[in-house]
Amino acid sequence: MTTDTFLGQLRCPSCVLHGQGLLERVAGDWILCQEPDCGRKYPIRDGLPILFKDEGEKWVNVKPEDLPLTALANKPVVPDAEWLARKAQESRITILQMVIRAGSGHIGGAYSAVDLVTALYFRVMKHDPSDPSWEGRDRLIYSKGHTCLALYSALAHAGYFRPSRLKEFLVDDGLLAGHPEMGHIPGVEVTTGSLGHGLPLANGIAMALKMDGGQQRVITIMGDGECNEGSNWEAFMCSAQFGLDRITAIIDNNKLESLAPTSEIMAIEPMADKLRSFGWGVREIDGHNMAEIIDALESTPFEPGKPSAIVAHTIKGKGVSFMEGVTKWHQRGLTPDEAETAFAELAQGIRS
Amino acid sequence: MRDAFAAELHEIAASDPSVLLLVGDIGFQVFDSFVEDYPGRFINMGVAEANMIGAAAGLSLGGKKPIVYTIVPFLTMRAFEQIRNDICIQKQPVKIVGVGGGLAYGNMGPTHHSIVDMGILRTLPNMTVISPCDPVESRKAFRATYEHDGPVYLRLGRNGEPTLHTEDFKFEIGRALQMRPGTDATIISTGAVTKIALDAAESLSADGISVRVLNIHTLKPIDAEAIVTAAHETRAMVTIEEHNIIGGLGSAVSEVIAENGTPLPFKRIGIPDTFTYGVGSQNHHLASHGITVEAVKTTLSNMLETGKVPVSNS
Repeated sequence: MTTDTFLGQLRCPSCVLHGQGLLERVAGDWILCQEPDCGRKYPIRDGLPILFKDEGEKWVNVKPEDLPLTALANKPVVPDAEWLARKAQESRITILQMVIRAGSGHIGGAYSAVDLVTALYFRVMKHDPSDPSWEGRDRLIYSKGHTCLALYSALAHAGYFRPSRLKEFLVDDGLLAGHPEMGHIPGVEVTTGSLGHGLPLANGIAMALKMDGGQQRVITIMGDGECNEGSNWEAFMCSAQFGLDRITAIIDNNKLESLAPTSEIMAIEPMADKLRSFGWGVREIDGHNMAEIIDALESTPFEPGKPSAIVAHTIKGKGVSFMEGVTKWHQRGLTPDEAETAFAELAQGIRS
Repeated sequence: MRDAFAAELHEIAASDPSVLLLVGDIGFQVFDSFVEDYPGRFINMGVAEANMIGAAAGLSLGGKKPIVYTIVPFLTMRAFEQIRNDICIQKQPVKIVGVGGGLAYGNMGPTHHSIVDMGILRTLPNMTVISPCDPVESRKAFRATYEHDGPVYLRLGRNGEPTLHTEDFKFEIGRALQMRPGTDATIISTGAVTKIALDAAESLSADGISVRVLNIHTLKPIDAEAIVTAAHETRAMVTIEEHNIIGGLGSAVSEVIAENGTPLPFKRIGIPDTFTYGVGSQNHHLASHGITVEAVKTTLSNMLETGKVPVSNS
């Protein structure tokens, strides 16, 4: 690992002969030469700084915030909870960069869901980024479409498109709109954005797969606020009625809606009891505890013949202290000061 | 029309195992033979239309060919956003078949009347809107609906409508059918009230007035060419439909006329932007809204005589 002590001993190979060439860590896994006229940046790969002159030349004119996000330690065949938690933390940095660049984005709900999404794309789901329409893939129906930042980051890092294209979030003629669009973004199964559509779609997809004898899973991520929508309750009944036991509905229960706490708007608790009474197998987990997430996602169906619901207790804005549980971070850009603080906290989260 | 649809569906389902019928707990005994002959392919989705439409789109994404059937208002309005997002935006070739178009459920009251369905559905990109006029046309229309690669809304009446087509014909989506030639005036119709158009034309011919009847079974894409030709070749035009005059056939035709430089005396006959309260059969309500043979005759004669549109009293 590149510790701060180790970093303190290193020097920029281009500046060390005529200056100090002290190095500073930036953007998670890059190091920047501090000489005023240098501006060279060197990547850290697999925990090791790559201090070749040509590496630094390559990035000399790139602003620190524009540096590509780091592809870190190679993904193990079956990544463990620790690796996934680290990956999710990187995703939070990616998301932060996207929001800083775009000046807007539903960051709070992306941070509550990002651990779940990371576990799905990097361990739980069978899928092939080189063949997004592979018949045998598990389907993720991302119902809480407004928090697509978490989905986009996962898709890019999983290999559905180049991570550099994450810069196209909310950019005219770019790849990534404020809600995910099927057909436009590789790996996006359905177009969402209007709440209460994902589970009905998942029902239909699961019915079709079941008719054909498929074993693919259909997983949907929905919000607790989204459960205000009546269509979900039609759909909960439907999944149970038709015994769609390949469905897993994850409720990202972050307890906050756009304007106020869910409990003050349209109280859903006790959510788990409601779902049980609707004929679902239910498990409640800490939606930020990677071991619990993996265990739940890999234990379905919770009850034979029934669809499975995971009520994931989460924190909106998780990972950045001033966003956690704060209503206004439902959708918002960041001031430069906020951006710096958030970045520092998230980077600290990776280092620790 | 309903039984004609069911019969054609039965035939299509025999050759295509991916065809599924989803109903919203509607259609008692109508699909008995389908249920019997194609086990597992008749799916009662319950009285839950939002989920039904979403699931239909999901089934389509999963490679199936779902036909969704229930009463028009619940199908098209309750689940309108699902039709837009899940079907039209995602270009899923789900077929939406509504029973009880217009005032077919006359004495069931205004909750069951469907007088805005064509208007709202034709505003949806990627959507095709078809409204057949009789049982024979319904069968052909459903065959074309099934074969069309895209979302379609098929608006059926109820049952027991008379057959209006007197000879075999080719049904083509977007191609109007001339039911009767004529040179003085044109009646453009859609749906079962085409019968009123034909009766009015027949009656006017006794007065020496030659009336063309154009059956626009496809509201979208509309056959602009047939409309423009009729506007050039005749001297007055009325539309007749079992729908609000706002948004439906009359609106669609006037859009074509206005944008093609073919002005002529023109009048929409339909439901004059009102709900239909109280008790009444389909025919009773049609008459109360002036959707009658007499009204069409009077309007057209007046327009031909004066060269103007009669002053609206609605």
